[in-house]
Amino acid sequence: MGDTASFTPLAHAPLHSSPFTATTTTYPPLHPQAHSRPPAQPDSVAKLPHNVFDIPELLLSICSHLSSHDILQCVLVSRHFHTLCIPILYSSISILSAFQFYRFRSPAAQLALVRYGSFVWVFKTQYYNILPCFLNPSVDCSNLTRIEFPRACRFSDPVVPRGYCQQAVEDVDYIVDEEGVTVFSYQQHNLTHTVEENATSRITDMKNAEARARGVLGIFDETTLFALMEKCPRLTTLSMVGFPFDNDLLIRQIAYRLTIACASPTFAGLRTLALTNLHFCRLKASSIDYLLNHCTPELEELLLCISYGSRAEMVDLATQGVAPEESMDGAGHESDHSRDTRIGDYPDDTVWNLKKLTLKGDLTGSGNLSWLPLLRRSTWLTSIHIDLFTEHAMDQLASTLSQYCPNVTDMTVRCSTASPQEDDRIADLIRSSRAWTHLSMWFFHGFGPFSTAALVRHSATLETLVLEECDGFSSEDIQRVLSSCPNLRTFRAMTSNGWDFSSTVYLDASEMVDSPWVCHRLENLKLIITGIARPDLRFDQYGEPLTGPLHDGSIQGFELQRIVYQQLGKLTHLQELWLGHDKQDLDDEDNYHRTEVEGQWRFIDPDEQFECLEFSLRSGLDLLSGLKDLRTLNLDRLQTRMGMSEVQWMAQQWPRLERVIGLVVQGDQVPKHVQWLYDNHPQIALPPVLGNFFTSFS
Amino acid sequence: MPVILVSSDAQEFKVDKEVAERSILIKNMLEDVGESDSPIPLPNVTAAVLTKVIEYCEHHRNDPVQVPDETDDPRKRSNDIEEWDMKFMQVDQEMLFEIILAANYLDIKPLLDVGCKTVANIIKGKTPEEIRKAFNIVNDFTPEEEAQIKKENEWAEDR
Repeated sequence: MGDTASFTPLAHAPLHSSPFTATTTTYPPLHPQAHSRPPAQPDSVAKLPHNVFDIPELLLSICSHLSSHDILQCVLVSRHFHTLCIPILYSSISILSAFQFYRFRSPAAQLALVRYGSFVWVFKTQYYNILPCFLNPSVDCSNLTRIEFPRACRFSDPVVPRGYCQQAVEDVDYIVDEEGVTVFSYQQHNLTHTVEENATSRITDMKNAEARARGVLGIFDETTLFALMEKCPRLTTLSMVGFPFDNDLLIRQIAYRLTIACASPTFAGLRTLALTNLHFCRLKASSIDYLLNHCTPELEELLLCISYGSRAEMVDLATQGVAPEESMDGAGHESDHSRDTRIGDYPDDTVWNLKKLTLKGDLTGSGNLSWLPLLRRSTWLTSIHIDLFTEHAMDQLASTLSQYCPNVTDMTVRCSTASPQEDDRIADLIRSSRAWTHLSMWFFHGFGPFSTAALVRHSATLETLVLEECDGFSSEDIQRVLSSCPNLRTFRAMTSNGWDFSSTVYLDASEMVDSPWVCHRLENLKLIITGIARPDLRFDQYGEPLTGPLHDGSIQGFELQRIVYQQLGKLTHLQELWLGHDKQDLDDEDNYHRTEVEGQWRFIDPDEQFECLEFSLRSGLDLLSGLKDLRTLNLDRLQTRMGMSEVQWMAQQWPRLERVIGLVVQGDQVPKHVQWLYDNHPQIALPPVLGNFFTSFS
Repeated sequence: MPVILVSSDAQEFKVDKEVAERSILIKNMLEDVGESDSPIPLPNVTAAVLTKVIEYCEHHRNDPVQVPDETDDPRKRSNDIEEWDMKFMQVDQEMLFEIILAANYLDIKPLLDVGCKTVANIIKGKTPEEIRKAFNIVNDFTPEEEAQIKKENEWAEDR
């Protein structure tokens, strides 16, 4: 341990606007004893007048393509590399595994953090208990701008991983010696993963149990986060998945941090605030109102993702939370009332920077839209992601957007109203932007002539159009979109993830005959194409003859299939192709057939899975040979005719193919061609799907 | 109108203006000077390197001007190199470094990027000893120092 103890922390690097500019400074040598050595000058560097590795900007550019692991290897190469790469290594720290957690808390790493703290720009972790590392008074947080919890935040220590052995950091004390330099002193205490019961790990377990209990009760030590936010004057991004939305005090403290930037010249304003927790939360609705009402003009991105668990309850909460200030007094900030600036207090000509607003979950419920005042200020808003629950809210959003947010181009709306929305109200919402580039609409059940006409007006700019669980969008409408949107990259009109499927929007292949698609830049297509003649399919899954012109042999040949293949074959940028089957038409009486057993009916819907592309070479599969970027193909529950020659063709023609869904059916014997793929192309994933439909009624 | 570039070893290169303007340095120079047919001296670039750089600019003459992408985390950027660029970069290390330095000096961002990616790909997955070997670098750490650095930065390991 003597080695570490004699390791005197070196002077801090001076404060810089970016940790990277700091690379131009000369650092003191690594070890005090190194003074006696000649200055580090590797031979190769001396030979070349300008070595790439001598120019910090170039090394930074090189390292920007490397992982932390590789940068660490660079640090270990030589003194010269160490000097240049340490600031890069520390500029973005991710502590996401238990190993990293304990290694980062180790005394050696903590001492290094004291030396290199000023380089830290971004800190990502999933362990709340790692934050105190930065609270050590000797750790310089002056450049820390982003604190992110990209995965669900854990409020307890992780289990000591198998194979980990190091001194426990719990036993470290920070002592400031007579020269004002912080040194560490610690007792020898080994924190080792052993099979036998170990006193230390038992203590850790107990602490963890306590932390977990506190988590369950919603009691959690918010002071750590407060203190860190206080310590980082340049903090501009706080993002937390698994945010404890039970803590009213915390959310008010964050609102407070948002506003102090206006009053204090030493604090940067938060630009990005992203708080997510989809579990049930016990937050007072008034606290969220309070936060929304204290957003500042500096804020560029706001994401709140909250679930109250029950919207009915929200109504009560919304009526309760009329006067947020009252409860604010309880939070103990009476002295800060002078700084308590709210949205309404800003002069009308203030420029608001909010560009991205995301409010997910039942945040607003059926109550009032508490975020509308914020939206009315956000002239520069470009992107909005909102969940709505009433038609009234839809109207409010539409009128506010068209009145106040002329620059919005990207919208995701999930509209869970009790009944289908009215066509003209959907049309109003679509008309609320001058030009959509990304439009994603969920649960809209009232598409009609007005709304589709409104949609087609954006055809020149649309790059993404997603219609998830939407009704009323006809086959003709789909064809009109695909044959009028030249810039479309993503078009999804089907809800399917490989095991769950539901959709009512489909394209009848006959629509494609005379109107070619123009969306040749499509990268992602999810669509049901039905109405394709399959004279080869004469019997349903029960062995009964399939009736109707598409199956009874009155249509011959593969003309329609070829038209569909030709159309798809032009989409040479396609990366994902998800084809789907029709939804069961349970209302059509013709789909019910009597069986031999008295009183037993069986349901067969012939468009359901018998009107799809054959996906065989004889039907024109080779027309898809231009899809060189194709990665994912979904054929779930389609009655295709793929065999050995087809899979061999696919493996040869589509070099990037990663996944084919629908080729392997759960419980079925593995056919030869699938076995061939397993043997020859193990990199192609073949997730098993549920079997075909067998539906009997009695 | 062609532009004449002069390398450090006094060799003249006649290239299309459009090609020469792939270099922001030259583009700015031409804008400042205005219409003029006097040759542009490039004292930091040798003829061999300039030949390579011009080859790159010829091939990419019609590329759209790169918009600086505002990806927050530079480490997330993709490491894909186009096939042609990959072949273009298959040169010995000295030339690779010279190209990068020239791209840096001439301010040709896409070439600089490709060069840095190529070096990054050489480093990727290597141990410190292998990196030293690859770039002919002398290890001036004592074994104790190396162990100490390893220990204090162990958190950066993926596991």
